[in-house]
Amino acid sequence: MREMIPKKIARIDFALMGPKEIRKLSATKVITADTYDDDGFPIPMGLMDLHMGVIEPGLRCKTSGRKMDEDPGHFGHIDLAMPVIHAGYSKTMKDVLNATHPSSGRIMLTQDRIEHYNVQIQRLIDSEAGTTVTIGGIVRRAIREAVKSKTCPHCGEEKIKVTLDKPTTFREEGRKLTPKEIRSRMEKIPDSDLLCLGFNPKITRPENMILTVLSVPPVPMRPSITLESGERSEDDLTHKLVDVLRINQRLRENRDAGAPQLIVEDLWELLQYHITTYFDNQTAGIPTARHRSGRPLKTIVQRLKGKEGRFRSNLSGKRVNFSARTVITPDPYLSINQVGVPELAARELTVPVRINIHNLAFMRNLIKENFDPSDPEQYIPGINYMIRPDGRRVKLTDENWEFNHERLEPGFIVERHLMDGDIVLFNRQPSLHRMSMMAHEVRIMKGKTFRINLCVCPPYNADFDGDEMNLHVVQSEEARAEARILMRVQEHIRSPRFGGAVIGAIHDHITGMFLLTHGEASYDIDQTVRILSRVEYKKDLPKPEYPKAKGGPRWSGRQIFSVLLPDDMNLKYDASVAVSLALTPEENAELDLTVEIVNGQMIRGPVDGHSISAFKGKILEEISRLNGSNAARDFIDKVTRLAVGALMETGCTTGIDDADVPKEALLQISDAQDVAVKEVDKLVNAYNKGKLQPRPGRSVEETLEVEVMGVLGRVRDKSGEIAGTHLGMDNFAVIMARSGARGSMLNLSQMAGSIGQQAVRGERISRGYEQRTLSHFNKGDLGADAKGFVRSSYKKGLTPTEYFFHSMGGREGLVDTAVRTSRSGYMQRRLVNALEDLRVKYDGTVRNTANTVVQFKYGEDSIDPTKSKFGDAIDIDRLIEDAKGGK
Amino acid sequence: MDNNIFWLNKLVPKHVLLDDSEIEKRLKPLQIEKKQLPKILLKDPALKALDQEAKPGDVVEIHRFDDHAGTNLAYRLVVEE
Ligand SMILES: [Mg+2]
Ligand SMILES: [Zn+2]
Repeated sequence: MREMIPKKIARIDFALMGPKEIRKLSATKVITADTYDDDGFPIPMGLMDLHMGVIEPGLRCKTSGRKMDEDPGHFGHIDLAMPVIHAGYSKTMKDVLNATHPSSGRIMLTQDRIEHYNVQIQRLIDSEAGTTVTIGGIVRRAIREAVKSKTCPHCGEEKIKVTLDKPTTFREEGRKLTPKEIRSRMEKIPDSDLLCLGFNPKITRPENMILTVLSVPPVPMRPSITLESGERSEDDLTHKLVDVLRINQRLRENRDAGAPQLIVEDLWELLQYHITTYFDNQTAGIPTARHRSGRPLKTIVQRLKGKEGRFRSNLSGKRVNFSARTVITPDPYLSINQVGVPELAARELTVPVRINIHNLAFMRNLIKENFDPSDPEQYIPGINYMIRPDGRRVKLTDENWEFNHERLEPGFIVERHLMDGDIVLFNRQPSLHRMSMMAHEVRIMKGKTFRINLCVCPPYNADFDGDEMNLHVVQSEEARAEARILMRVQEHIRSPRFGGAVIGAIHDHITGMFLLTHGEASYDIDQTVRILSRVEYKKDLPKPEYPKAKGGPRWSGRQIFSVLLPDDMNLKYDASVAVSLALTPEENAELDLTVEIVNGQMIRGPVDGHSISAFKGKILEEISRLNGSNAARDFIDKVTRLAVGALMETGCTTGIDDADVPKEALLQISDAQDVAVKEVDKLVNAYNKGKLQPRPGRSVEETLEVEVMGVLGRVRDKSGEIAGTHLGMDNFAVIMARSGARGSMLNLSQMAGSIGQQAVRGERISRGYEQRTLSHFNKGDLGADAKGFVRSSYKKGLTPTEYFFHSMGGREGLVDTAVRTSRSGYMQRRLVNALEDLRVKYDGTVRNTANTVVQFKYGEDSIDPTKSKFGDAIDIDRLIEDAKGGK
Repeated sequence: MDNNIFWLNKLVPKHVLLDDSEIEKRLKPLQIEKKQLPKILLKDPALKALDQEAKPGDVVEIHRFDDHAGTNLAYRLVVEE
């Protein structure tokens, strides 16, 4: 665009344009419905008049003199033979007609009331100067008051009600009002009465709601397209304008020739129809205008409205280039920093590379390899286009590649396909936090899915049940540097929310590491080498822990794991398995469930969730905080590989038999349940007899509920305990639960023992029929079974009534999550919008875009939570340990 | 603990009215003008508890205390509305 002079917009008024403004804005009057002459040249004063802009290359706009793509075009106008109602304003028109008196043109309010409303509106406008002013509420009140009065306070005459037949027919006592009459009524309203009706007389007047001139949009807004057959196809808007012009012409001729009133009225009506549908082709009450093929025409409102409309589709939802989307699948052999990109996508996505003397030979080779590959099996990035220093783009083809490959020289830019090591942004919606979009390094792979390391699933909240993700290729050197330094996955291992790791070992990684290191697990030389080879261990093997074992020396799992630890690491903490057993420290020590690391060597304890998982992993926390992101990434990558290696040696499987408990245990459970149910019956009896003593601050009913819930809760725990004694560490489901990999002991006891009480809104189930939950029970039954106690286990299966109660509890959970996500989503959006342009300046203050201070010290302590230890700037315990000499 | 924190109530941070030279001293290192400060309404109850009467254009220093971050100074410009 030329000569762009920046201007400041002081304010915007939204108002109706009158005929004067429309004519002033118009570049030409349109009189003929024809578009092009026989030579395909636009007809002057036709719908494609060159004054309204050009859509053909070579021609110039007759208004501004600009060429095709430089000119947004200019409006034209059509003079209507008779006035026509703008259907979009018919409701406002009805209000105005009913609030005013036709003979005097005055609003039917006393002068006092008019003043009263004027003052109110003016005050609102003044007080909110500089913001968007909405006077709708006051105006609505004023109009309602005026419509209510039966006689006009100014001339004393009675008022006749005007009714509206949607969309455009006004009637007064059954008699049709013509647009002409309505317009003249509105013209009569004095300026002084308009403010109460919601019009600012300085800007617009109500009669502008009736059109006498129709604005014609610029040609570039409704371009005609040429089909392959050479035929011209016009835009829907042009079609509609043709209709308007034709009928307008006939109406004028008939009226001027003094044709019968009936014919004129019919034509007038038809013109009204065409103009109404020109604005909105889905106006209720009239048939939609259709194309010859039967397709409904897309007119102005249809262009703007809805999901596919201009606003939601084009303005709020812009599309970007250099992006790809496909299904994601896991690959534990990728680094967390990497993303596997299918060749198919890599050949579409390009990076612009400027040629210099260092990469010239490489790029030439890429071109050669692409058109004349030496190994067709191997992926070699190609080059789609080269851009010469003069800006010309040249597409490389089978014919010209040899020639252009010679011409390539420093200063050229080539668009190279993606290759290993390129940096890209990877994103999964909904993008709720900054970890939803991170930078990855590309690894080109076979197949059609994006591949990611499983440890990055939690920050993206991704799983592999069909999730798709988006990939964006950054195009400039600055963007690449920024992505690499700020956005790479390894820089996001620690969360800015609470100062701990959010990326860490999950599921199988934890199970694997536990199996590798728990108890006395040891491995012979073959196994040890196999496992260590997965982490590219290049040093000598450590001294075997059991050199004299039968069948050759054996290495302990802890020794193998210690390979990943920094030499100066010293830690002591409880393992996840220990905590879930709820043992005393002494018992833990005895069972070897305390983890101890001395100088980077693991002395005792198993590696489980408390060592390597996100949020809880002590070792991961230590490495990511003290050794930097590179070390943390390396640790996570290697834990992944080591875990896979360990699992390959030991194996891990779970099935329904993991929920098996001996018959005696089941009997014990059902006995305990019988006792509890009897106890509940006793309580209910006491309640029914009025003998139950209420607890302090509670009613008798509440007391009963609390007591019953207590009894049934205890029996659930007890049955869990009974089942638990038979679920030992030889059971893989238990290993997963105890090590913190997946599932909990509660899940297991519900599968093996008993499911327990179902609740809706935190209470035993009480809804359904009159005084009972289901017709299977007696009215007023307050016993355990009648109010949602599920004795069965998932494995045994539920009885029909139990199943029904369980579904009620389950439904509540689903509803809760559905409601919560939508509400918290909106809450977050408001928060983000309020805070998005705040930033921490170099002096440590937080300021907004107006450079006013919001916080004098970031967070009032100037601490970057990402680098803190769960919010604290320093780890005081550790400092003391170190000061005491540590080890 | 900072003895500044007990003013009217432990939930109300201490407000201190600054004179012109002090304002100058505090704002200079921040490289800002008075109008870039956060605002406090003249009708704010904390201002009524000051020894002197505040007027629009004055700057108050607020001694805030927080278990986690310790004592913190904030400044606010008194405005009428
Ligand atoms: Mg999914
Ligand atoms: Zn032009």
